[in-house]
Amino acid sequence: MSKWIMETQGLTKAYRKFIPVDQLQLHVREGEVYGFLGPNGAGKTTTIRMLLGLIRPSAGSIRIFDRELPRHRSFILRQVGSMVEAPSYYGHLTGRENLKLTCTLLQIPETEVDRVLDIVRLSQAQHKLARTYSLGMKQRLGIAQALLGNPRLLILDEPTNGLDPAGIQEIRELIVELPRQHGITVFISSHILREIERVATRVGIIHTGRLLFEGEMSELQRKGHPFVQLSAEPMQQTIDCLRDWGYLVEKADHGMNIMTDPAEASVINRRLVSHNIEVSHLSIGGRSLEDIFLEMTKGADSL
Amino acid sequence: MNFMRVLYTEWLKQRRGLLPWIVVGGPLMFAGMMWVDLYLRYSYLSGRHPNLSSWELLMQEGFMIWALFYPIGITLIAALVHYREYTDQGWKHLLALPVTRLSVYTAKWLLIWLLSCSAAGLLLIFMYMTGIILHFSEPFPLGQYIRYGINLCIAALGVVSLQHWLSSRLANPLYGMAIGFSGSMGALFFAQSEMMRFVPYASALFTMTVDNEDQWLAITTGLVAGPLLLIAGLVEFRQRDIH
Repeated sequence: MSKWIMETQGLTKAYRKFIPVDQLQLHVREGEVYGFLGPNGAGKTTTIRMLLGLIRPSAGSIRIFDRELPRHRSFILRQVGSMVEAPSYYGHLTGRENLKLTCTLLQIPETEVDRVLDIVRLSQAQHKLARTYSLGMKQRLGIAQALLGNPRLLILDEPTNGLDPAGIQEIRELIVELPRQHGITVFISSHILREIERVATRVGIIHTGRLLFEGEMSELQRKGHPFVQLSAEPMQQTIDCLRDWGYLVEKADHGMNIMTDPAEASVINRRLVSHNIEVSHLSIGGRSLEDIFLEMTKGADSL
Repeated sequence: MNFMRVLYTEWLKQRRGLLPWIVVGGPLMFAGMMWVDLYLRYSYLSGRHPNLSSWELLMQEGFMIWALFYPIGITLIAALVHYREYTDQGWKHLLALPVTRLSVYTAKWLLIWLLSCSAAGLLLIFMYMTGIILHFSEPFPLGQYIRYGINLCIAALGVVSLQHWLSSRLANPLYGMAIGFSGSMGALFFAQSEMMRFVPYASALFTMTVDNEDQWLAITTGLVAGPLLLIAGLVEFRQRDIH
């Protein structure tokens, strides 16, 4: 039995010469919030549509709950809740009627409607027509639909799109609660790094259809580990000394970056001064997650 | 079971919409027109067709207008059934649920056909009521009218399959409606051509059961084109990428 609840191998979608998703290898563990991050047009939605059987892959395979999609489509989708891009709802029906429709299709009792309305805090507005809902309420209705039938896996595509800060905060809290309180695995896509950073435990970064990084959130954060920024004269002598002492040194515009623990800064300073090197600037530098993401996606301008 | 649930939800989606009004309102308006027509011109019409009973006269007088408007009605029904999915982004939600595309496509098809048949059934009822209001003296030829209703339902099969697929394929309902309206308007011309009279839009013109030897055309076209176009549309729908 695989340790992944969802796994793709070489997943590819090609439209003649255009390849929105190229050889994607995704690995999602049970009970985690997996952040699928990428700039607009990176291939996130196409990937999600393939994971839900809405689009046929050109190549590669998808395994969810240890079963192959599309061969076991019904078995898989019975345990998957989803919201792709904007939430789907029938505007001329009330929120409750929308959920009852999905209950009928999922062959689950209508009591489920009350449960999910409670979770998304929409009970008060359940009898209003869905078209009269605010954007945040529509988004919550979409999530409520996805939660019907107690899915093991929830796939949410940009669930905070278009929401105001309060709405974003609300959805974020909801997403973080789901694995903790209901044991649901969440696969969430976004083009906003800060969103993913706050909710995800693991992350996959996609750009132009290719997966650039996949790993723990902490692993990504380590990529931005701090270092010591130094300006000193004479410069070449400084670099030679530091390298002799075993430090990894990179030249930079301001002088050099020493890839070491910032706690070493005072030691370095003392040793350089004792070697008659004039230190004019010493500070702690580091790359933010945003820098790392931008670097990975080659300066994608959508952030 | 799965199919019946999908069909039930398809019907629920149409509640509070325009669809029930079209299905009831279309035949009602038509019957109203027939009432005005026969109320004003009964003597003239019965003089022109002395061999026909009042009931046959009613059918003879109205069938051509109905034959032109019936495919337009089917076009509207198909467009409205699919309009919901496109405007409310329903396709991706519906098809990401554990229901098969086969059940979704055939349930929508059946709903459109049943509503078309309901319109035909209501037409017969409203025509009967028109005759009663006009005090037709002859007994109501129930068998003849029921055969007309059955012919209409069979003739609808081809148009239903075609408009169902067009409406499911074209995100803008206006395109599907434009094709349906053009086909319905061209029905008179199709019906006069040896080859083109098998075009589904023309079928309703051959459904009348008063002095009509061409009823087989409506039945053949419906029974052949209906299932064939349904299967062709289904094959395409199952392969389709849902964006």
